[in-house]
This record gives sequence, C-alpha cells and structure tokens, in this order.
Amino acid sequence: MVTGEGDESGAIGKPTLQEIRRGAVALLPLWLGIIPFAAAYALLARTSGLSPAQTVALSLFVFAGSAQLAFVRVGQENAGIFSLLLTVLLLNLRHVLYALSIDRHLPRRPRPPRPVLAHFLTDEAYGMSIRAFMDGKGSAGFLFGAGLSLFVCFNLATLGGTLLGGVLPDTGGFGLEMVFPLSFLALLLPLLRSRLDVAVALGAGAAAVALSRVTSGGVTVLATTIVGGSIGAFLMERRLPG
Amino acid sequence: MRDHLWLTIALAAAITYLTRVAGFALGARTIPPLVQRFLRFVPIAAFASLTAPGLSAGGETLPRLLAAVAGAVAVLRFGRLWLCILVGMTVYWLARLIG
Repeated sequence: MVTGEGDESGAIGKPTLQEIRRGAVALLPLWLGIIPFAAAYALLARTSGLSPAQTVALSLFVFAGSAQLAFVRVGQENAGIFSLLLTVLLLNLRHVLYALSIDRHLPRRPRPPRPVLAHFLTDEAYGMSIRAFMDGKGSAGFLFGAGLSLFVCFNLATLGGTLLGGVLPDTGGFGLEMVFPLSFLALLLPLLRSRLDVAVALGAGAAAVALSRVTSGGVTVLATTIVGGSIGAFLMERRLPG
Repeated sequence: MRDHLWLTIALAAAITYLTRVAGFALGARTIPPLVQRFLRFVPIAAFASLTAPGLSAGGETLPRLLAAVAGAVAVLRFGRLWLCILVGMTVYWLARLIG
C-alpha cells in the first residue's frame, strides 16, 4: 500500500462514530507523553506571565506544542510581535506537507469537512492516520478521532497544569518525552520496504540530529522532510536501486 | 508584545490554522507525478526526523538507543505501537538505573 497513490480513496466510507473511536483509541498510548508535556507547558506559560485564560487559549486555538513553547519563550524575551509570529509560522509549516500527504487518501465523495479536520492535524494524529491509511484501515473518521483524542488530552492537561500549578508532581526526571521518538519509530519501521526507503530514513534522521542542535523541532522536520522527500523522489525517477 | 498579548495569540492561532488548512486546499488540485513521488517519502522522512533527535538528546544517548532497539524488535515482531512504547520505556528506565 505504500506505493499506492491514494488509490484506496473510493473505498472509505463516511466517518462513523466507530471510526472516530478507533482513531481516538489508537492515540491513547501517546497520552503518557502528552500529559506531562502539556502540564509543563502550562507551568512555563504561567511563570512567564501569561494569564490562566491566555495559557488555556493557546492550547485551544493554536494547539501546537512547539509553537506554544516558542510563544512563551520568545514572549519572555519581550521580542517583537513580528519575529514571534514568524517563528510560529516556521514551526508549523510542516503541516502543509502533512495535509498534502493525507489529503490524497481522503474520499472525494462524500467530502469530509477538511476545514474541521485541519485544526486537529498534529505530528501524532498525522502519523497514526497515514499509517492506518497505508495499512488499508484509515478513514476521515479515524483522522478526526486521533486528532480529537490528542486535543482533549492536551487541553485537559493544560487546564490541570494551569489550575493546579506547583501542586502537580514534577515528572521532568522520568524522561516521559521518550514516548514520542518511540512512537514515531514504531510508525516508521514498517514503512521501510526498499533500500531507497531506508536510505531516505537514515539520511533524514542524520540530518535531523545535526539540525536539531541549531533549530527547533518543527523547523527540523520541515527541512529534512523537504530534502529527504526530494532526494527520494529524484532517485525513484532515476530508477536507481530501490 | 506584552501590551498586545491577546492580539498576538489570535494571530498565532490564525497563522497555525492556515498552515494546517493550506495543504488540504492544495490537495484538491491535481498533483503532478513528481510531487506525488515526493509525497510518498513524506511519512518516512518526517517520522525519521521525529525519531532520531529524541534518541540522542539529554546526554543519555546509550539508554535511549537501547530503548529504541528493544522497541524496534517489539514492534517488528508484534506490530503494536503501544508495545513499542511499553518495551522501550521499560528498557530506557532500566538502562538509566543500571547506568
């Protein structure tokens, strides 16, 4: 299914409650990493001078962890609005690639409400859903459910961190952020079906390690995905060993 | 920025939403074959970029690499994402305790 170019589109029915629940459940294991992350964000936002309402509003309406952390950090330095918004844009541009990538799998008719799906598009929801599509088990409902699952968890934990603040135990030492690389590793490995796939993954991974030392995660993913995808597409075209 | 915090939050939300909705809007057009081939590698490159830096972070590369190897074996053998997390986190914590 990896080589399919959205050919399974027609087979997907309209989002049902069952599909939504499948997507929501698929994302449950990631809650282990999301809860401490969102709570830590809320604490940081509060100590940097955001009001409780502003802290919660960022999670509800921006709903992008790395951009929210940048918002809080850049805000602390009292930098200009323009540089802050430019940072937010750069950190989030990778979403364009995610939406392009997953849109090919969504049915044309009946047309799922893409403007609604868009708000819930995250690294994690994209990852779980594109894999589901590749395995022939994806649907618009699954994508929505996965996105909603993360949204609910992220916002409940933000609310908890905002209201309870310092009462919460400090889980920083547990390394729960390891949940995310492990999750994406699990999503990645079954996709590696040719030498070209492995080469693109190794190249992108190595470039990401180097880039992550000088820039934020969102920019790293954007840059390495554009370069990795281009090299993959170019080599595929040349029909080099793959 | 302090004086315009709510305005800045609203603008950040609008920008973020635009990045999310733009790809869906573009996707409605016909995608050229070269771009389709590019998109085929998007998940692979993105997942690799979301994995690799986290495995070398925090000055504890060895426990994290061991966790990744154990998680990889678990997911390749049983095909369950939650098992990769469970096995990986267990090995990670054990390796940190011992190391």
